[in-house]
Amino acid sequence: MKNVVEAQRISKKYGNFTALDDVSFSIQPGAIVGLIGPNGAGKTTALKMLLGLTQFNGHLSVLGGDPRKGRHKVMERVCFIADVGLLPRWLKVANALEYVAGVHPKFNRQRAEAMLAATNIPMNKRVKQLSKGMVTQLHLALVMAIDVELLVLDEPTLGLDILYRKSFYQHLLNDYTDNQTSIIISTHQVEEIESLLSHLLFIDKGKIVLDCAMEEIASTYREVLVPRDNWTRAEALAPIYSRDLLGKKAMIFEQVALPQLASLGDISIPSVADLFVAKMHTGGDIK
Amino acid sequence: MKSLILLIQREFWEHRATFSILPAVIVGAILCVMLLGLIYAPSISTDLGLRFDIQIDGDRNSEKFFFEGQDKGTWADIIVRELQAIESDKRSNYLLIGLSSIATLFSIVVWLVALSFLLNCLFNDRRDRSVLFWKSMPVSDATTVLSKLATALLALPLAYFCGIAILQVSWLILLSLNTSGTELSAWDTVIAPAQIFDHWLGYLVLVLFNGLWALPLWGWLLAVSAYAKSTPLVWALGVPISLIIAEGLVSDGDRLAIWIKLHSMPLGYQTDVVTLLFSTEMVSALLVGTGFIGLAIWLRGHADEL
Repeated sequence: MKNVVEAQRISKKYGNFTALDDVSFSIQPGAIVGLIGPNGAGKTTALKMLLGLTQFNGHLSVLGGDPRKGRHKVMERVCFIADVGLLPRWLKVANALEYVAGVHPKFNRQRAEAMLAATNIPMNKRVKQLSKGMVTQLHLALVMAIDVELLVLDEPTLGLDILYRKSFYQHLLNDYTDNQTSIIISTHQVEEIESLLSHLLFIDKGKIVLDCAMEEIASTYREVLVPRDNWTRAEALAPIYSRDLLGKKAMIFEQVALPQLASLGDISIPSVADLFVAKMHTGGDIK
Repeated sequence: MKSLILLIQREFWEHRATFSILPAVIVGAILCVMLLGLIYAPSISTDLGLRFDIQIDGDRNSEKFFFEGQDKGTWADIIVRELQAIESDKRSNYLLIGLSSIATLFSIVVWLVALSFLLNCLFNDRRDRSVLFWKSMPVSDATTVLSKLATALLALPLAYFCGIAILQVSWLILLSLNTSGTELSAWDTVIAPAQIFDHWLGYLVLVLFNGLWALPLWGWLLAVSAYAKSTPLVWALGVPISLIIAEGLVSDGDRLAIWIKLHSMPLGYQTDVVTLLFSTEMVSALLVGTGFIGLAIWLRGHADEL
């Protein structure tokens, strides 16, 4: 099956600032990709580019089409949720449903209404009268009721409390992981989505610093808790990151054979968050 | 087409205050004044030594009416007496004063509302970032821009037309009621000479005509709205004013200045629509207007949120 997204040598500048610097990546059907990077790394630019919401240089194909040329065609098959606050403040909940039902051929109104019924969002209120969490829930209900092939989520839970965040990702898991919808989700709250992802994309200063399937992480990266006695030997194996932990050092190694590490200390698979910190520290050696 | 109607409806959701409530308020206020004039001022008098001269320039004939002294009664009494006093073939022109005053008032308001709407519509949704929501829907930039244009040039004048029609009909009914007890019937005095359907048809033709006549203005406002990073009004006024000044500096002529002014104002009831429709003036307006609209669509496609 063809890739959902095929991006080759994409660059984007805002004046003198380079938001994306010669970036290439692809997304396979059904993949759930975490796009992870610090603030200003180019995450939002990358996502907006996929949606045809910004101009750039390079070759990009989203579901076989170029979003720069036919954004509205691409949008029939792609959905987008950004950090809260994209819904216009004057829009009434009932009108929002009516609007999406009218313009989107793949919108299932009953489904959106059922999702809203499970919340306490009143149909006759305007967006500006809703709480932050409610606005996100509303947007979510609209988007989740659209049968799309690619779902783009830009910091979808920013500013929401932990209860909302949990139920948001629960929804996402239940609704999408069993079908062929691909999801790309950007966040810096890595821990929350770790269990959801099938693929990782780390981005820093406009460059991709890690592009790796989750199952490859375990075979490529190892974290070793090294006691003081073994520090010199461990340093010789060139860990990509090291931090102090309870009198020992937790070191992360990339593609170092297991037997070499075994004698140094306890081995584990690094968490995505630790791997992220490690990758940001090395300043990005592209795998 | 179905989605175009929905997009127009969406503008009415957003601009309820100026698209629906404002004309309703104007209708209500004027109706109140009319009724209060009948109830609380039962004997205003024009016997103040004043003399009003009103001249109507019709298609071919020019009429003069004098309102002079000695009349007592409500405004409706006075108008009915005047109507019955003049020859029957002049009643139409007399009534036209009232009917077109109402229509003109609304036309001025709708013009201002349309100007402000087109100038801000593509700017505001970039400023509040909701452009990302609108653009995440499968609606093309061309459809979006054309829906704004159709809203301002068709839907909005039609909404205001409801207000015009309500007021004009109310005015005619109040006049008709005042003919009871006089020798002439309401039909002969008011209803028949009002030629209300002809008048309405004239309004609607004029709406369509002005939409095309001022297409450069509408297109320009949309382009500015799609482009401006801040204060679209400054761009909207600044560029044409600069052009006019520049023209004055480099040449003695004022062709550009005249053209800009000509297509920035609506034409009134006395316009010979048919002749102008096929004039070079109109062709130039359509060409320039279409160019600006195309530019607005392109800019909308390339615009980032602010």
